[in-house]
Amino acid sequence: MASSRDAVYVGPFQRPRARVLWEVLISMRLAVHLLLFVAIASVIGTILPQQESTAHYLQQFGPFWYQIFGNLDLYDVYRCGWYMGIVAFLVLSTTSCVARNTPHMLRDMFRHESGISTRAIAAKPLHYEATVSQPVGAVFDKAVDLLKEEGYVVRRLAAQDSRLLLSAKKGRYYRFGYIFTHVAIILFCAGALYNANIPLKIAQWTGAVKPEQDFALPLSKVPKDRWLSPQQSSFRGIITIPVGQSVNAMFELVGDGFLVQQLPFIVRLDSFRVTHYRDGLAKDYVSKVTVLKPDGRVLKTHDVRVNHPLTVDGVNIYQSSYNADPSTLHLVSYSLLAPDASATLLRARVGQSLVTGAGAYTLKVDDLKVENVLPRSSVGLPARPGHGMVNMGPVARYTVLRHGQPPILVKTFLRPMPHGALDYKLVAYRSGHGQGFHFLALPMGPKEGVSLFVHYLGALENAARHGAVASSAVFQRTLAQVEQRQGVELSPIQNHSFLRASLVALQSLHTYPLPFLVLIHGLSLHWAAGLEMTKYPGMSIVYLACILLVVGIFVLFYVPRKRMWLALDDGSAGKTRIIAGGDASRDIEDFSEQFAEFLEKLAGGEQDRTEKRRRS
Amino acid sequence: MALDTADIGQLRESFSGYVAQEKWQRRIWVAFLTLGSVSVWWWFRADFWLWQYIILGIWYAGLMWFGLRWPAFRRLFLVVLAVAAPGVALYDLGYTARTSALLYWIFQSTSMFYWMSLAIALSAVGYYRYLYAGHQLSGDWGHRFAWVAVVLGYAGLAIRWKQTYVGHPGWGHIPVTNMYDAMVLLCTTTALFYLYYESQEKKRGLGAFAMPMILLADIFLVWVGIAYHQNQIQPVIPALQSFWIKIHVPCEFIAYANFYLAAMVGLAYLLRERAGRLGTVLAERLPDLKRLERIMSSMIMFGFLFFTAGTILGAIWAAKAWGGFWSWDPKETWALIVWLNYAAFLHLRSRKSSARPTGHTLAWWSVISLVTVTFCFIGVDLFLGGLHSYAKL
Repeated sequence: MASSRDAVYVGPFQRPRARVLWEVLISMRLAVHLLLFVAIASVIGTILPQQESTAHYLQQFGPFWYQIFGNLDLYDVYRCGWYMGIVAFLVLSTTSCVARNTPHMLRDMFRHESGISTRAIAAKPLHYEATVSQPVGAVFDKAVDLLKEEGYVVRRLAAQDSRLLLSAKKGRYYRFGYIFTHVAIILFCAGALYNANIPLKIAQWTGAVKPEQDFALPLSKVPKDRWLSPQQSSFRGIITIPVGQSVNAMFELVGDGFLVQQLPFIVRLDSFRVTHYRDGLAKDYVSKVTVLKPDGRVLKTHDVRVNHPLTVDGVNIYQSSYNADPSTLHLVSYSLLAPDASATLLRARVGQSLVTGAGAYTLKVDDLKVENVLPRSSVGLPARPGHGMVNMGPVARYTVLRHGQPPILVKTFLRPMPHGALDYKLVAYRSGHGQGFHFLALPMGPKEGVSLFVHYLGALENAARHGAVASSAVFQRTLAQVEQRQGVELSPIQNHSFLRASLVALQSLHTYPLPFLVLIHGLSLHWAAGLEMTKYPGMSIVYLACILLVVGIFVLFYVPRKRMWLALDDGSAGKTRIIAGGDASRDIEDFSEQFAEFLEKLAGGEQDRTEKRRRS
Repeated sequence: MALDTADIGQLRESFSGYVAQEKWQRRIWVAFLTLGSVSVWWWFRADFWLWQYIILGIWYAGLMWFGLRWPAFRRLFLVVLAVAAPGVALYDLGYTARTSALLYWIFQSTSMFYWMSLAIALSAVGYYRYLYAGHQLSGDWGHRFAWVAVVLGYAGLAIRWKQTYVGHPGWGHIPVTNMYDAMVLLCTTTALFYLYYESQEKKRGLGAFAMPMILLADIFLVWVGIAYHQNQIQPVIPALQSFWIKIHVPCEFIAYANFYLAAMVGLAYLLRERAGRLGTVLAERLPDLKRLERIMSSMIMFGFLFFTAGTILGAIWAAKAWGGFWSWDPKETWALIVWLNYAAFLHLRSRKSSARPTGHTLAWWSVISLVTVTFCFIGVDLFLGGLHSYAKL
C-alpha cells in the first residue's frame, strides 16, 4: 500500500538520442536504402548529358527548366554537393558498421575455445544423437579421420568428465569477408579523396584560385596567378606539343575554365607517327617522348602509345590525341578570270589567313586531315571483300571570306583520284550553311597538276572571244594547240577522256562561286601530339581496395564457417553414445546435408536410435 | 550422347567404381591443362612478358577449377577443341570460305553461329514442350541441343579468332570487340551456366525459362549480323588493343550470364508459386520454392563476384589506358548502378531468415534487375554512347 502511494510516475523508457542515431546508422535497413538511393541518383547523370556548354542546355531545355536543372546541379551531378552528400553518408554508415562489428568479429575468429557442455552442443542449430555399438576410442578415431578428410581443423577439447569432446572447424576466417569488403569501400573513397587534390578544391571554392576563362590564350600569355606549382599532390591535364618542341606546363580543366599546371620536368616530343591497317584505319599512335630535368639531364626517352603510358616520377604520360596543325600546306592558286596567267604558289599553316583574289578575298585555312578514310562506296569505288574503306589521303579545308558575303567552305584533296585513263583533282565547296558539298573533278594532265585544264579553259575562252562556235572540232583543235604550247602529249584514249572530263568540269564551274581555284599540291608534314599527364598518389590505396573487395566477396560467399562438436560418451557394453551439434555461417541447408552425411558415415548405419532436430 | 550430365549423375549414384574413375579423369584433366598451358607458352614464348604469364595463369586456374568441379566441363573443353580444330586447320592451310565448301557451310564462324542459333531454337522448343506438355523426350533433346549450342558457340569463337588473322595478319584480335561477338559470347556463356545449374539440380524445368531468353539474345545477334554487317571482321581501334580485354570482357559476361539466369529463375519462382497455389503440373517439373530461391541467390552471388572483378579490371584498364580510374562514363555509371542494386539485394538476403524478405520479393527483385542489367549491357551502347561506344551499332 505504502509503495503505491509513493509511486512516482515514470515516463516510457527513453533511449538516449545519440544511441538511437547510432543504431540507425549501423542498421542494414539504412545501408540498403542508401545503396538504392545512390543507384537511382546515378541514373540522372547518364540520361542528362553532363558538363556540356550552357548554350547547349539552354537550347535543349529553354530558360525555365535550364534554371531549375541548374539549381539542382544536374549538369554535373557526380561532383555536386547533394550527390557527394549521399555518398558520404553511405561511407559514414559503412564506417560505423565496420567500427561496430570488426572488434567482436576479430575476437570471435581468434578466440581460443576451451570447452563446451553437452547442453551447449544440444542447443546448436543442427543437432543429432545416436548410440552405436562400437567402443569410444574407435568412434573417436573414425570421427577425426572423416572430419580431416573433409578439410576440417579438428581439436580435442578438455572435458570435465570421462567424455571425449571434439570440435571441428572449417572457414575460421570467414569474417574477413565482411571486414575486407566494407573496408574496401572506405578505402576507395579515401583514395579518391587523396587523388582529388582537396586543398586546390578548397582554394577554388574560397576564390583564392580563379580559373582562366579565355581558351584562346596561348600558354605564354596566361597570367601568373593561374599557374599551379609543380608540387601539387595530384593533377590531371593535357597539352598538345608539336614535334621537336618541349613544354614544362599543361592545361588543367577546372570548372568552366582552366588552370596551368607546371610540370616537375620538361617534356619534349621527339617524333610522332600513326600506323595504319591496310584499309587505312588507324592502328596505332606512337609519340616518342623525352623527359628532361630543368638542368637538361635526360630522365627517360620512351615511346608513348595508346594503352601503353610512360611513368616518370609518379607522373603518368598518356597518348591522348594528335593533329597535323603545324604542317605547312603548299597551295597553288589559279585565276579563273585570267587563266593564261601563271599560277601563284602559296604557303600556309592551319589557322593562318591569306589575302588572295587581288586583295578582295581572305582565305583562312581551318583544318588539315592527313587521313581521310571513307567507305569505298561513297566515292564510287567498287567494294572489295573485307576492305570496305579507302584512304583518300590528306585533305585541307579553308574558308574564303569576302566582305558582305557568306563564307564559302572549300575542301581540297592532295592525292589525285585515278579514274579510267586519267587522274582527277578533287575539290569540294559549300557556299552556305545547310547545303551539301558540291564536287569538282578536274582532269589532270601528265604534269603540273591541273594547269593543262586551266590553260585549256583560257584557250577556249580566247577562241570564243574570237568568234569560234562551240563544236567538237573546235574543242579538239584547241586542246591540241594547248598541248603543243604546254609541251605535253596525251595518248588518244587520254585525249578523249580529257575532252569529256573538261566539258563536265566546265559545266560544274558555272556554279562555282569564286574567281580562283586554290588547290593543295604538296605538304610538309609536321605532327603535334596531345599528351595527357596525371599524378594520382592515391592509386596504391585504390588498388589495395580493389584486391580487398574481390577477395572479400569471395570469402564472404564461398568460405562459410562450418563448425561441428561431438561429445562421445562411453555407454554400457562397448556402446558409444554420440551427441553432435553443428552450425554454419551461411547456407545452413547445404551444411545440414553434409552434417547428416558425416554422421551417417560415422554411425555406419548401425545406430540404435536416431534423433535429429533442426532449428532455424 | 557423351555429354549428358544426367548420365554422369546416374553414374555417380550407380557405380561404386565411379570414384576411382573420377579420380583418374581429374588426373588426366590436370595433366592435360598443364601440358596445354606449357605448350601455349612454348609456341608463343617470343610474345610473352609479365602480363601474358598472368593472363595464362588466370585462365589456367579458372579452367582447372571449373573442370575439377564439373566433369562435363572437361568433356566440353575437349569437344570444343575437336570441333574448332578442323576449321582452324583449314584456315591455316590457306583455304577460305570461297575455296572450301566445308568452311563455307560449316566451319567459318558465321556459319557456326547460324548452326548454333538453330540448336538454341530447337533446345528452347524442347524444354518448353517438356515444361508444358510433360514430354520427357523433348526435355532430353532440349538438353542435348543446349550442349550442341554451347559447343558450336565456343568453337565458332575460336575459329573466329583465327579468322581475324586470315588475309590481314595485323588485324588479329580476340573476337569480343563488337556487339555481334559480344552476343555470341553471351548466348554461349549463359547456356553453359544454365547447363551447370541443371546438372546440380537434375531437373529440366528451368530450361524452359533459360533457353527462350537465350533465343531472344540469339535473334538479336542474327539481326545485328544481317542489318549492320557486324558479322564481318573489322580491325580493332587502338583503344581496344590491350591484354586487359582478354580478362575484363569474359568476367563481365560470366556475370551477365548469371544475372540473366537469376532473373529467369526469379520468373520461374513466381510461376511456380502460382502453380503451387493452383496445383498445376508446373509444380512437379520445377524444383521447389526454397530450392529455386537458393539457386537464384547463388547465381546472383556468383555473378556479383565476377561483376565486381570485371568492373574493377575495367577501371584498372581505364587507369592504364586513359589516365582515369573512373570517369563517370555512362557504361561505368550503369555498371555502378547494377552493382549497387545487387549489393542491396545481397545485403537483404544475408539477414537472418526471420528478417529476410520473402522469396517472392527476392524473385521480383531479381526479375526487375534484368532491366538494369540489359540497359547496362546493351542500352548504354544503343542510346547513350560514351567511351564504350565502339560497341555501338
